[in-house]
Amino acid sequence: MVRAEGIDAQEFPELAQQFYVSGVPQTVINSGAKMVVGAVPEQNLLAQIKLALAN
Amino acid sequence: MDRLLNEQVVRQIDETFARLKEPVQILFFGSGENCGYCAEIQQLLEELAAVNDKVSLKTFDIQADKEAAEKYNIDKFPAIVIAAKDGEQVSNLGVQFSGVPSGHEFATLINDIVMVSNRDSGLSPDVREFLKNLNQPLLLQVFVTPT
Repeated sequence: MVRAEGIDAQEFPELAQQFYVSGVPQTVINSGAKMVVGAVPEQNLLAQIKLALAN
Repeated sequence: MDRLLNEQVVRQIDETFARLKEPVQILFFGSGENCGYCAEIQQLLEELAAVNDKVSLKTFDIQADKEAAEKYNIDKFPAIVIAAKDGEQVSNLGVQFSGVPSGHEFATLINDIVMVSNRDSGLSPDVREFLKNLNQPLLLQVFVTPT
């Protein structure tokens, strides 16, 4: 049910561009439903995941 | 080709891998064509797998092994899947890195291997509870620059 993929932004620049990646790390949830810039605490990420899934 | 991991690095990895509990299956999806770093990544993973018996490596060609690529949802290459292994059974836990695992991302790769081997995400109880009750697919793509 959960897939977690680390993506090398230099190797996949088109994909990085598609999600407007300007700083790293940037976490893209369900192909853009929500995005989180920076290394955030687990709870912050969880909150964004919940918002993404509620859409 | 010269070795990519020097003796000192191998020793450090060996110490870290002493904590491994269960077998880990690394699956590497590369290509003989249009892949500047595939040969190096494959060599790196071979050297990693040689450090500890609990880590094994399978290599696939994205064109020739379409079935495997589809099974593991591989839509780009180079890609590395870190899966759990129990006997002959390989379980995909959804842990993947796409691109070149160099710099900081090499440390992430090592940590992923330890995590999968210990079958423990290290997540807090409430996050585990949330994930257990998840009833729709969740894809987390973390963009990084491996410098």
